[in-house]
Amino acid sequence: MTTAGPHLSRQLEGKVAFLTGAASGIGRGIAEVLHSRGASLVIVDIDGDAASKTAGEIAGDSGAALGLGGDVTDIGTLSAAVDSALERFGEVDICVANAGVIGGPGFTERRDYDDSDWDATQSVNLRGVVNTNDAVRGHMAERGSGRIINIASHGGRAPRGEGSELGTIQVPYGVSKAGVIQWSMHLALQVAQHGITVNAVCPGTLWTPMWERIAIMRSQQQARYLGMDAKEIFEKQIKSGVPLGRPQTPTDIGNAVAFLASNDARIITGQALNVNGGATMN
Amino acid sequence: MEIKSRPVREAATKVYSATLAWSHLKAKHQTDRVGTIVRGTAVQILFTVKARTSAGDPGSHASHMDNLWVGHHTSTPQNAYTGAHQITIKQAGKFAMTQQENEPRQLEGKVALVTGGGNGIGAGICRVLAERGARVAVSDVSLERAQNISAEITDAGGTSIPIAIDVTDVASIDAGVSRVIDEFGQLDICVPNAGVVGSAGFATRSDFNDADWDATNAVNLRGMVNTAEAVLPHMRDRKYGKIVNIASQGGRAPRGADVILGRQIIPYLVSKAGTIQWTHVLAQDVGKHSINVNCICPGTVWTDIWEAIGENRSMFESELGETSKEVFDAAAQTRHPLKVDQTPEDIGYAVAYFASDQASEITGQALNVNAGSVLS
Repeated sequence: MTTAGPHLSRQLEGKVAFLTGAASGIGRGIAEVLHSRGASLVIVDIDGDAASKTAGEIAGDSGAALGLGGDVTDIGTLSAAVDSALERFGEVDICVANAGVIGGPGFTERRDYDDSDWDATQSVNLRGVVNTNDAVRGHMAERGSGRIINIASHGGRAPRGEGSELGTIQVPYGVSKAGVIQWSMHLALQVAQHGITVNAVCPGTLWTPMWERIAIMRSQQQARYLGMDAKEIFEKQIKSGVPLGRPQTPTDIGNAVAFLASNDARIITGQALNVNGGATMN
Repeated sequence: MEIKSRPVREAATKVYSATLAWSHLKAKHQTDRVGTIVRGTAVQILFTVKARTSAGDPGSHASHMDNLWVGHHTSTPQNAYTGAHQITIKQAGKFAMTQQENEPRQLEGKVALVTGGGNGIGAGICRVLAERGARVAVSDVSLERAQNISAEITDAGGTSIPIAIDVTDVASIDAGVSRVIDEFGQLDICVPNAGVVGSAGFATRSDFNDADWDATNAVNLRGMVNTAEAVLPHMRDRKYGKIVNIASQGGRAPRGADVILGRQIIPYLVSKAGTIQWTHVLAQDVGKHSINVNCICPGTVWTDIWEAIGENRSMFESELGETSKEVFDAAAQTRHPLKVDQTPEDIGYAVAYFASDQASEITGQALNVNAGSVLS
């Protein structure tokens, strides 16, 4: 894992970052890194109370973080959140579209997808990212600058060699994340004229509630994992599938987002970057 | 490079001076910086000095490695002092001016070797790595070119040595790597950057010949392999290393019916695709040693390579432009959605990120740094 490191800069000093799904998990990790580099935060989550709590925990009484409720499947709530962000901070420089789901209700009990898995992943992971980007791009275009970083997944690159053993349950998720990468490229071309860059970060394998659900599912459905502890399955996956042999952390993802949001990445746009210990390579 | 407004530039100079003074302290003693305070024109560095270990018996003094005392000293942008050493910072202002505002000394304490560092993109990478705190071995097939860039870095207050390395000659690169390790005691970062666009006479040909295949393979692909093989034993021993290969967006898949580059450049494009695949397989191979291998694919940057391409195209496809620079400008305009100049330093910033510990979980990846010309 990587750490912020005491020598690291305030490379995002004075910037305002708007993040979705940021009350917990990867989103929160990204928020913490951006804050440590000097950015003010607008933390949006479907759970508004959790967003406010996280904002307080990260920034204390400094006033540098605002927690808001927002549902990425409803662009009206995002536009309202952007309005609140502008009222509070006057600008949005960085947009991190992170909110995501692994599947529909009852995901761990199924081997194969059902309609609810397609509906949930499409509406949150794909349309949710589109809505989030659309909610901020007008403001960014007016200012002639902006950094959009969408959180996809290395599962959105190409499937990797596990064949049919897993069933089809993860297919809708992978397809939605492939959509996020493709959308990021299209949007990059659309908004380049306004000085806005758009990139995607593809996280690898992190011990999050999402991966715990995958591991539980495997322990119930895959012969070689039957009855195993979820964490044990996760560690087996790391050992066999990750060249660097380590899981990633929300901080690792945050470090990549901070780079893409910084002046160092001013000419990088339309790219997807895997942060996954080399599990897939592009 | 943006020129900073005066107050920002002055502040950057001060902070840079303080950081540089600290790196000198760290090299002379075993010190840890515990804080930097900027007040008016003075920079105060709070630091601790640890006991030096006896050369013959480093272990026996372990109990004395605790902090002995906390001191401070004051510096100005021109001079920095320690108790025993006066350090003159040459042209700190000039150096700070090129440092991006609020950017990190993210490579403090690291040692880097860059091949083909004597000009173009390689020189930009060397400058940025030095700005970010690394000690930089500038290598080039031309010692004179390496010396020029190395001197530029040391004149600006950085630490650098020049080395002549021919990446097609295993003995030459082995000797160069040994020299870096002898000089600095370690090698953390390796940037195989040396590359050619073709063989002699490239600019005057409308088609490739055998010599183009030989040159691009020998330098761009085998040279990169040779360089990695030379540094890997040291990196494996230390269970630490960052290799950042420089490929090209031309090593990705070709696009549409684009004729802007011509047929003579095909061997170059194929060699750069090879460097991307080499990055993947090497990363997979050395991951278990905690060595990261990644690759940057630059877009359209005005260098010797582009000058040759432009010259060639202006000769054979004159509607693209009458001079090499005209062809380049047209290519940059039409091929790149983001209308910003792409500089060697931009490539350096991406290299610095991959070489830093903030990218420890990234390996085996190729990243286009190209204003959106090719999307991957």
